[in-house]
Amino acid sequence: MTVKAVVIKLAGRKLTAACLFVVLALTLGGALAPFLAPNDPNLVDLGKKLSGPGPEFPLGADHLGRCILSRLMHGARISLGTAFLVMFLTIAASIVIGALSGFRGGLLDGLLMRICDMLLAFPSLVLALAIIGMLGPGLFNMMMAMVSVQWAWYARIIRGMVLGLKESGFVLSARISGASGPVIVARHILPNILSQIIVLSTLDMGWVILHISGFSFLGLGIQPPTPEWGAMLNDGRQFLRSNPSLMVYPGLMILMVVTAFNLLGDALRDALDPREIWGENGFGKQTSA
Amino acid sequence: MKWYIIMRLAGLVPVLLGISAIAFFLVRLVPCDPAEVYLRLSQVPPTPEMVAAVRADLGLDRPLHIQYLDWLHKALQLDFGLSFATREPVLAEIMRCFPATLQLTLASMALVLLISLPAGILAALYKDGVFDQLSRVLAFLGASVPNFWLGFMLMYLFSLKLDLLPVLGRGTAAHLALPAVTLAMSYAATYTRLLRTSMLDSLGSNFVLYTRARGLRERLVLGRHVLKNALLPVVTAFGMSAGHMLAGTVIVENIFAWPGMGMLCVSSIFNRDYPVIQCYALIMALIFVACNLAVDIAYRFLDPRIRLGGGR
Repeated sequence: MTVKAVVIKLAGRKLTAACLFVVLALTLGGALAPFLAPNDPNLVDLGKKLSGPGPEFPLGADHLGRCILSRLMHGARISLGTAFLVMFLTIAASIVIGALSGFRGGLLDGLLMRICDMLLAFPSLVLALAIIGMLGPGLFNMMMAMVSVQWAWYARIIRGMVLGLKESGFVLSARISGASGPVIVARHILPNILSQIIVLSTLDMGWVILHISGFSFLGLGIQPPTPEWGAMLNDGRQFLRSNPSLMVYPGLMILMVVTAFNLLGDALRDALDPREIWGENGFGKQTSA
Repeated sequence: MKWYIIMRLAGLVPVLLGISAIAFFLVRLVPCDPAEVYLRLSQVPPTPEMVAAVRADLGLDRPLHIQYLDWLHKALQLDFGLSFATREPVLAEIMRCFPATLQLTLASMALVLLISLPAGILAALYKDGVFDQLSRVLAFLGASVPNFWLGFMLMYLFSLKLDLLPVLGRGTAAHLALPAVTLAMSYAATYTRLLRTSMLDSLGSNFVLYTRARGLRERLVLGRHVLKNALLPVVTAFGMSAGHMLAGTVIVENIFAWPGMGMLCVSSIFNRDYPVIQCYALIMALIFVACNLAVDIAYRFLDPRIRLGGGR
């Protein structure tokens, strides 16, 4: 199925089209936040702290007098940007390892897969916490922890896909015509499994976003004053009684974007693989955040 | 069956060794010298002589594989060293917090069953009805809602606005209600859908058709034949979730100041109390592996097809 056909199929359904719109709007809004946001997200003005919605601050101001709307918009940039980056790094690492393992086989395959087994023996949240604990809190360390926890899961799946294609006719022809291993993987195998990898990663985007904001909420990920949704929730917790809106908005943003990604992932799975029915095998990976 | 359990236990040895190796090498990720951290936490200025003395004391000056074997030897005797922060044995510290975490997890698991069993059955029996549609929406929200947000919203509604439940801490059953609901929510949603799907599969199968042809009462058909088969995949998934739920308490405990292992882990991360973090990860992984093993054995026990057809 071509990309165009998939997009047409997706846009044809109202709910999926809405999800696609939410994801695109937030991505675009986040990317253009410096131009679109009404105020500087980090500008402290204690005189206007906790002020309600008004012409200057459309959604009000937080406990330091910073514009909530601007912080939410910049938050989209950071939350989504980090999630995309984590996903990209995870997929890149697992393609290399999974393809190496599946294509080469032998001792290397055995060794890599045993490492995967060991990593998968840990609940992902615990291992990520432990790695952050050792490296110390912070954005970069959190990203490293998430990638090192996630790659094993993908590498196993990609290895399986590569194994399935390794003996197929077109790979054998490429081999006979003298193509080297990396060329066969990059030019012949990868394009055939890419659509499945994209579906998997879309299904998992919600999971990644939940974990990033979860770690930031615990103070282990993105650090204040950076406007990230999870960190904003943590900032707002002491004002839950007096100003619950400080917590409502960032939470709704996370809920909206994660729902959109989950629905979109399911729709993509249906569009690319009609054998799978909605909800038939759960919700992708374990949602433990 | 006995043979199967022995084989499974033997198969666990390499996994356990792998887990222990990961837990041990985790501390090697520390970007600075653990001996220096130890001194700083003890409020001692880290002079080179002091650092060398602590390195020798903690065994950090020996070759890595010797350190690992030594650590493993001690770990097998349940000696995980002393906490950098409190100087107490790490295991004692974790075991002090374990009951709170276990209580929270068990309460949440009970809630998940209480919600998803009736909801899943009703959604399957009245497929595409109002209830089914509602459960579909709730399942999606449950999978997407961040529980660190849900917890605060529940706290706002039930503790601050309605003043029905205590806000923070542990003590009475009322203290348990909000944390347990927060933790259970996403799992209850997932299990409702899982049970629904599995019930529908079961309802459409030939053995159900046969029981109906025999003229059995509908209650008997559902209770004895449909539900029994439909529960199998749920049991498997539930066992796997137990480990995830135990780990998921980290966030819930931090919201409600629940004094469990998750709170201890996060405070240890901020204190750079590496032995506690290491032991936490190891114990969680062991519980996770034990849960998976229990599920495999239970599955064989519950499903005669595997027991009789799948070899030994």
